[in-house]
Amino acid sequence: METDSTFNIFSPEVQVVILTWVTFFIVLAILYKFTWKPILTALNAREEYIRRSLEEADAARSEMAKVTEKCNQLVAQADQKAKEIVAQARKGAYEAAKTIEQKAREETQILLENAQREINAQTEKAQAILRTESVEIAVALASKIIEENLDTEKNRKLVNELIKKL
Amino acid sequence: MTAAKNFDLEHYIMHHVRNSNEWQLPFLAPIKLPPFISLHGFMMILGSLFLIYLFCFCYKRNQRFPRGINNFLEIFVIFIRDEISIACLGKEDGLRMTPLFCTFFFFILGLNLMGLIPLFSSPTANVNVTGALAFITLSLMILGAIYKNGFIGFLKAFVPEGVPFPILFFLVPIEFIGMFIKAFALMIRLFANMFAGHIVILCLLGLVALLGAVALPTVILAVFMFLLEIFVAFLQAYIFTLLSALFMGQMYHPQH
Repeated sequence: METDSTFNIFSPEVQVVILTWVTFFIVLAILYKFTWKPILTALNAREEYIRRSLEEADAARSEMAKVTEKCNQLVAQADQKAKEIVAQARKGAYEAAKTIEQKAREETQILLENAQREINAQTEKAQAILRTESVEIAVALASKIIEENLDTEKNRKLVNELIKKL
Repeated sequence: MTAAKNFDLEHYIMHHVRNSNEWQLPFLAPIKLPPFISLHGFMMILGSLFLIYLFCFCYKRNQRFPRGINNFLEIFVIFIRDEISIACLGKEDGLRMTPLFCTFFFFILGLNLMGLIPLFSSPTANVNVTGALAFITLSLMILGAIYKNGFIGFLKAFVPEGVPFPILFFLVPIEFIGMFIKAFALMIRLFANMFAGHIVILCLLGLVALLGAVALPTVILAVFMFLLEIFVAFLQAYIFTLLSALFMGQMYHPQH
């Protein structure tokens, strides 16, 4: 053992230097083979995986947004269509009701007119019958009164004139 | 001071920090080490074995979601890869050199921390060890630059652009010497930090041995120094790795 007076912290020790190199390069080689390479590969793989996952997530998100938008669009379209159908049906029903009402009114009108015409015809007929019958009764009464003085034809004319004056 | 009873503090400290051929254990006879493997060499081998154990057996490969020690080690590896290697050397070279810097970092860190464990000593407090490590950096600066840029390209790294011609007579030698100074500074920086830290702790503890129970409060200071030393161990490992990468990057890409 050297004494303290000769000890120098900068004293070269060749064996330590060589041992350092040997140890360092052995450690480097072993760790390179068994540790650094696997770790770095794994890190790269993980980074790649994370990057890809994020990209996929982004893609999925945008896809979902697209799908949602389409969904909303379809729902809106369906809503619009349903409204149209309802409106159309309502309009159709209203028109049908209107036509039916119109027809009914027309038919009623026709029936009314027919009835009116019938009534008029019957009235005229009744008037005619009444007229002839009253003439005949009058003639009969008159002939009985003046006892065949007058010609039947002349009397009828006379009576008709009288009736018209009435 | 008179109570020192011939206690030689300097001898006591130097005995603890210097290299020797025996490993002193409490209550046991010192273990004699073979002449080629001195105490620091032995500590270095122990540290390396621990590193290999840590990385080859504790690190679980094929773990999809890192947990526990995997997470801890991966944080350092990612940091060294992204913030040191790729930042200083560029994408392509950075990825290629990452294993080297990872080894640098963990090797130095392990050896630094060894000195803080009782019974062990720190090989990085030996200038020969740090010198050997700095020489590896220097060799890679020179050989890597020659490999990458050719011999002419390597020499061009010493000629800064945009400088008037006469100035180059001064500048080129300075740049050339600077390359060696950088490596030398690496060696001294790591060595001095480790060495000084041990000396400070030993001085504080040595006061107790020197002055007796009066100096017991210095143990608290020693504990704080110890905590600081842990930080310094990480810091110096990081600085050595970062500066190695930086110097290599300067040589590989001289236009920067």
